[in-house]
Amino acid sequence: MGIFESLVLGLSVACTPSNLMLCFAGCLLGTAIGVLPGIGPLATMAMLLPVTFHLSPAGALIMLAGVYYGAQYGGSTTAILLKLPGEASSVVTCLDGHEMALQGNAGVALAVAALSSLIAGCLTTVLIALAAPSLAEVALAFQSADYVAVLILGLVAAIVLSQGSLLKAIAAILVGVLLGIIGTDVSTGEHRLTFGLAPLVDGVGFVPVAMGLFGVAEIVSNLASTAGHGTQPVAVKRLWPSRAELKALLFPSLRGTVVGAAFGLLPGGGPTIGAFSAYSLEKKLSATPARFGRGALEGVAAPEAANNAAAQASFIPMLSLGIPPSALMALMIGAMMIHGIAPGPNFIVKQPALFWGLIASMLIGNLMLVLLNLPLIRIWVLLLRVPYRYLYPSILVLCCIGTYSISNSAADVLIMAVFGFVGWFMKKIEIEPAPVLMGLVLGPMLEENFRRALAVSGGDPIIFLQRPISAGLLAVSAALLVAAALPWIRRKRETVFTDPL
Amino acid sequence: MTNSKERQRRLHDAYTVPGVRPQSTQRGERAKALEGEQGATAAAVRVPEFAIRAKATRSSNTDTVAGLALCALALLVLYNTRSLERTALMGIGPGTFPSLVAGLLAAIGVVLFVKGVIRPAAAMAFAEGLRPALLVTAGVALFALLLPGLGLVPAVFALVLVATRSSSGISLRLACVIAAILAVATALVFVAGLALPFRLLPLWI
Amino acid sequence: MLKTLPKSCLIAVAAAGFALLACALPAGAFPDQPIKFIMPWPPGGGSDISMRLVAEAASKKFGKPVVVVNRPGAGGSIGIREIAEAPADGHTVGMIGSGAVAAQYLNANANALSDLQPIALFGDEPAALITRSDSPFKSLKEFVDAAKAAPGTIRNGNDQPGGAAFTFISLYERLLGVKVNKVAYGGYAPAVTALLSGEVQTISIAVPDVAEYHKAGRLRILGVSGASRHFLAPDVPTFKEQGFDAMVGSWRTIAGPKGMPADRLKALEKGFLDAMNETEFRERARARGFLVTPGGVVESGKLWDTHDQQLYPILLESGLVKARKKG
Repeated sequence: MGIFESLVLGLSVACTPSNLMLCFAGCLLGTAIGVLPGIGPLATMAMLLPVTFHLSPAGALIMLAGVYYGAQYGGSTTAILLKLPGEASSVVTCLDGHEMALQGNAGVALAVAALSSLIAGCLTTVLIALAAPSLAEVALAFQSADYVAVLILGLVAAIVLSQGSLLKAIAAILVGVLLGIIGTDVSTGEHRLTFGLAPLVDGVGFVPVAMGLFGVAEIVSNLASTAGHGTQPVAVKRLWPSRAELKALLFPSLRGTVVGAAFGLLPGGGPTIGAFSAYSLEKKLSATPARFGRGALEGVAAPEAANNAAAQASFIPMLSLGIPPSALMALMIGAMMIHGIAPGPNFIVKQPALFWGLIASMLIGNLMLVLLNLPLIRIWVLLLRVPYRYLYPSILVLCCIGTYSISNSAADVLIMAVFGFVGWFMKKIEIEPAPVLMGLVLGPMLEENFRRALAVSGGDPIIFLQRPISAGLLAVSAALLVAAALPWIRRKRETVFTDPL
Repeated sequence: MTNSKERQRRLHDAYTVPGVRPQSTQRGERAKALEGEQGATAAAVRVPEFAIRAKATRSSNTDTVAGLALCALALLVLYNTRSLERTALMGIGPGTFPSLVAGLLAAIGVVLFVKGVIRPAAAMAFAEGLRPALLVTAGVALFALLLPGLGLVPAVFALVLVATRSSSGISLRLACVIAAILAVATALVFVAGLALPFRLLPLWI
Repeated sequence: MLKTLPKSCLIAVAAAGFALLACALPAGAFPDQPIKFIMPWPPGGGSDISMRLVAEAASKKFGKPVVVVNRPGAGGSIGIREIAEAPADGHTVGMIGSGAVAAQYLNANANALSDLQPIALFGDEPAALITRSDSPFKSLKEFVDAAKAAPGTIRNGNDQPGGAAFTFISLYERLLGVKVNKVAYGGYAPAVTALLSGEVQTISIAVPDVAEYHKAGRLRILGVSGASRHFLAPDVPTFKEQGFDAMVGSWRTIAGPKGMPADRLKALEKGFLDAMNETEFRERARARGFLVTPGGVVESGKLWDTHDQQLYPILLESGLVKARKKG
C-alpha cells in the first residue's frame, strides 16, 4: 500500500463526523488542562480512559492523542504569561517567553509558540507516516550505557543554556539530581533521603517542585521587588508577529523539530531533553547569544517546536513496536487493550485503518489547535491587564489545587510551599531554577541507567567508551562543555583586568 | 550594621523606577554583559553595577552564601546516606550515586565560597522579600493543611487572606472578597466541572 | 439565615428518620447503594482493565453499579490502605494483586494481608521465561544447562526488587537450581525493550506482554510456568512438560476490609463469582488477553497463603524484608 492510499485511508477514518468531534474535544480539553497549572495530560487521559470504553477504538485513540498534544500547546500559554511551567518540557519556554511577555510582546510569543508547534507537529506526523518502523528500530539500538550518554548530553545542554555562573549552573543541576534521589531506590528498594517521612517514599514529584521554584517564587520576588504592589501591567505592544519575525522563527522551528524528534524516539524525558537541547543549539548558533534569556524569539520557537516534535515522536515506538516510551504512551496502549487490540510489532500491518487514522487525525488536530489557539491569544493577553494584586492570589490558588489534584496529596502542596521559599532563596544567591528541574527529571534516569550499564558490564566502566553511540554522544557532551567553559574562562580573565574594584 | 542596611535600602529605592519592573542584582549583571556586547540598551532602568559592588562584603555576598548553603546541603545528604551501601558485588550500591553527587556539590560549594571571599560578588540582602516569602509560603502550607480536613472553601480563604498580607494594596476586606470569588470559581470549575474529589466545606456545616 | 434554620432541622430529622427506616429493612437488600471498587493501580494497566471488566459484569449481578476508583501510589499500598480502612459494610471492595504479598515486607507503611478479607479470585496468570529468537537457547533445558555451566553470567531483565518479574526470576532460580545476573528495569515494557535491544538475554514476565512478539517471530517464549499452556501462545510448552516442576505466576483477587458481616461477604462472593463465570464475560476477558480462573473466598485465601510461604524466604534472602519479619 502506497503512502497516498494509506493517507486517504487514514483521512477516511479521521474525517468521520464523530471522529472529527472527538479530535476537537480532545484538543480543546488538552488545551484547557494545559493552561491550568498542575493538572497535566496524564491525569486527564487517565480520567478519560473509562469513557473510551464506549467509543470506537479509533475514536478513543484520536481523542486521547488530542489531549496529549493539545496539552503541549496549552502548557506554553501559562509558561509565557505567568512563568508557570505545567510540564518539564515547557520550563525552557518560560525563559524567553515570559521575558517577551514582560516586554509587552506576549501576543507575539504565544503566536510564535503556536506556529512553531504547528510546524513541528506537521513535520513529525509526516515523519511517523514515512518512517515509523525503521525509526523504532533505531530506538532499539540504544542500551543503558547509551542512555547515560544521552542524559549527560541533556544535562550539559542545561548547563550551556544557563545565563549566569557556570559553577552555579552545575550546582543547580546537582541539587536537582539530589532531589531526584529522594524516595525508593529502583535497584534495591532501599529508602533514600526520605528522613523517615512517608510521603517522600514515592519521591518528590516534578510538578510540586516546578510550581514552587517557578510559580510561587516568582510571585514572592515580584511582591518583594515592588514593595507588595506587584508589577504594573505592561502595555501590550503587538499581538501578531511581523513578517520578519515569522521568517526568523522558521529555521529555529525546523532545527527544533529535528532535535525534538530525535530525542522523542527515546524512552523517558524526550520532550524535556529535546526542548533544552534545541534551546542550547539555537544559543550556540546565534550571532547574538546575549539576547537569549531576555526575550529572544528563537528561544521560544526552538524549544516549543522541539517539545511538540518529541511528544509526537514518542508515538513511534508505541505504534510500531508496542513499546510505551512514557507513562502517557502506556495509557494509549491501555486504551487499545480495552478494545482488545494488542499493540505489538505487527500493529501497523494488522491495524492499518487505526494507525493511519491516528496519523491523519494528528495532522487535523494540529491545524485545529492553531485555529483554536490564535484567536485565544487575544483573550490570554487580556489576562495580563488584570492588576497583579488581583492576579497573584488566583495564581496561588490554581497552583495549590493543581498540585493537590495530581495525587490528592496535601504533602505535594507542602512540598510546593517549601520550594517556593527555596526558590526565593535561590534567587538571592543567584542560582537559576531551570537546571534544578532538569536535574530532577533526568537525574533518576541517569542513575538508573548508569547502575544498570555497570550491572550489565560486570562493573566495568569501559562499557561507556566501547559502545559507539555512547562514546560519540559523550564526546559531543565534552565538546559542548568545553565550548561553554571557554568564553566563561576568557570573560573571567577580562574582568580581572578591567574591573576597577 | 544598621547603618549599612539603611544605606542598602536607600540605594535600592534610588534605583527602583516606579512603574518599571525593578531589576534584581542578577539582572544588573546581565545588563552589564548586554551592554558590553550589544551597546547600551535600557541602561537607565538597570541597577548600575557599582551600586551592587558597593554593597558587597567579603563575609556575606551571593557567592559565599551560595557556597555555604551548597556545602550544608551536601553534608546533610552525606550524613543521611551514610548507612547505605556504597559498593555492590556488581556495579555500584544505592549509596554511591548520592555521595558522588553530594561530594561534587560540596566541592563546588567550597570553590564558590573561596571565590566569594577573594572577590566579593553581589551583596546578599537577606531581609529583602523575606516578608512576602514567609507569608506566601505560609499561605500555601495552610492550604495544604486545611484542604483535606476542612474542605476547599476554608482552604482558599486561608491561603488568600494570609498570602495577601504581604501586599500593601489589599485590605483585609478586599482580600475576603477576592477569596470569596476564588472559592466560588474554583468550586464551579474543579468540583462541579472537573469532578475532583474535594470536600467544599467542613462536615459540620 | 435564622429563618432557614428550622427548615434545615426538619430536613435533618426527616433524613435521620429515613436512615432508621433503611436500617430496619431486611438484610436481603444488600447492596443498597453503589459498591466502590478501589483500584490501587493507575488506569490503563492490565489490572485496571481486567477489574473494570469485572465491575461491569458484576454491576448487573448486584443490581447496583460497581464503581471503579483508581487510587494509585506507593506501589499499590495507598489504594490497599483505603480498602483496609473502609467501613466493613461490604460497600467498599478492591483489587489485591500478588504484589501486595511482597509489599507488606518491603514497606512498613503498607498494610498486611491479614488486614484484609479475600472475596474472590479473578485469575492466576502464569509467568514465562522469554528470550530473543536469535538466542542460542532453544528450550528451557538449554537455558538451565547454560546457566548452570556459568552461574551468574546470563543477564535477565526484570523489574525492581520485590516486583512481579523480580519475584518470578527469583523463584525460577530457586526451583530450577540456577543463578543469573538480575538486571532491574522500571517495569515490563522497558524490560521487553532491553531484550529486543540485546542488553539482556532473557526476561521473566507474564505472557500477554510478549505474545505479539512471539507470534511475530522476534522473541521466543521458552516456557510457561503454569498448570497448562497459555491460550495466547499455545505452541509454547509448560515448564512441567519440559521436565521442570515450577509453578510461578501472579494473580488478581478481589478483597474487602476485615470484619464484613458473613451474609454480605457471601453475597459479594456469589455476585462476583456469577459475573466471572458468565460465558460472555469470559470471552471479553479472553479477547483482551486475560486468563480467568474464578474462585471464591477459600481459593483466594489459599492463594494468598501459598504465595506468602513461597515468597518470604526469597525476600529474606535478597535482604528485602524491612518490616513484619517472621520469627
